[in-house]
Amino acid sequence: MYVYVVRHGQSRGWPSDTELQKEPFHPAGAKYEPIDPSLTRLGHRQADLCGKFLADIDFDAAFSGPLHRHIDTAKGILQHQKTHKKLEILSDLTEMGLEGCDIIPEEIYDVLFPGLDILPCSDPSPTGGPKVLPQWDEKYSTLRVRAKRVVDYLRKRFSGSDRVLVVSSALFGGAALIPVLLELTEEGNMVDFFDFQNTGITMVEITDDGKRILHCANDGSHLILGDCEELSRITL
Amino acid sequence: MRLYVITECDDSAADRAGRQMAGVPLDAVIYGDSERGKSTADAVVKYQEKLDTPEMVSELCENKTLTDRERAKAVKEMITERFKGCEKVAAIMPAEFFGNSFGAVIMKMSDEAIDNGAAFGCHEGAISSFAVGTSAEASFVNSTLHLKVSDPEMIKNF
Repeated sequence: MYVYVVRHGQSRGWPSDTELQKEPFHPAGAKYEPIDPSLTRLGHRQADLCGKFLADIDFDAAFSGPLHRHIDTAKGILQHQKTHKKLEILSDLTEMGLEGCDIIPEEIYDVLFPGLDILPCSDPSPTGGPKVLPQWDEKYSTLRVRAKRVVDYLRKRFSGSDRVLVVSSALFGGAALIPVLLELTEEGNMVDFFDFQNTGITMVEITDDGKRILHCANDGSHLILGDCEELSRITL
Repeated sequence: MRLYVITECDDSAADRAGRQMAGVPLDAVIYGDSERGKSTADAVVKYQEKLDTPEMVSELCENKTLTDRERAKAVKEMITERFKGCEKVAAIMPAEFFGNSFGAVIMKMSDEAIDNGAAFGCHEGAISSFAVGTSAEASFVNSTLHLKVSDPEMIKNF
């Protein structure tokens, strides 16, 4: 199984950035939710470039966290897939501790993400975790528990040369999901992490006999060039 | 201290890696006892303003008495101790050694996982970046962008 972990694109989650605040927020009719912001224009562009970069990889499944920025990013990536893909939402893929943030109501998925086929997160989540998001004081140890649930779930469903897209966030992805995918030691996992720029791609292979291979981490080739045509896709 | 690992490669790739690293002021460039390691290190130093020559370190040399995992740990310890106080160091090593041992050791993968074949991507001429010290953090691993584009000037430095 090959797992492509992608961080979401730039979001409007930085209140200090007044320029970002000038951009229109959610599409008309959607509720403003300061802790669950959508992507900026740049964030959408990043997701689009990431999707182009990954276009030749035929994902067997695509998952994202439940946040607006996760689903926006997944949409930008999946629009470049050559065959129809459904996006499965897993609440365990959310970012660390989000006080007061409700999951986007399923009824407005069509408004916010038109054209995207979304399988909402069940309750409990398919990973076995709760559908509700973690509290603001979530600990790193809890992140690891969530990440283990995700990895166990993926390993039950996928094997061999299956390719899986996972869109998540910087802290959860870099400090928990990738270390757990790689089976980093507990000591390392608590203090060490992988950086994750917006739409950075980290690819981990788990062989059927359990071997872990980190093919690349935080690959941002698509962002630096802004034109994927010049890139071969040998890294990925 | 930030450690850049550049895997040994041919002259063309080494030149691109050197140019990619030009904007990163390195305190040292170290390599082992192979010809390719030396030529790759030379290419990196060539674009460094502060450095005249790379430095061969024994820990990166072939060692038949240690396993690759043990040697990777020795290299890590040496870098941590010897370059304490330095900000940026580049280590040149064979892709296979980085991919099969050093990358996993620097990120504290378990011995069991490493012996079970855990590995890091290891294209020749690739660049990886780690924070080394009390913690280890990977900024990027196995980056080969500089090898893929027709004009390396298009690439921003790390």
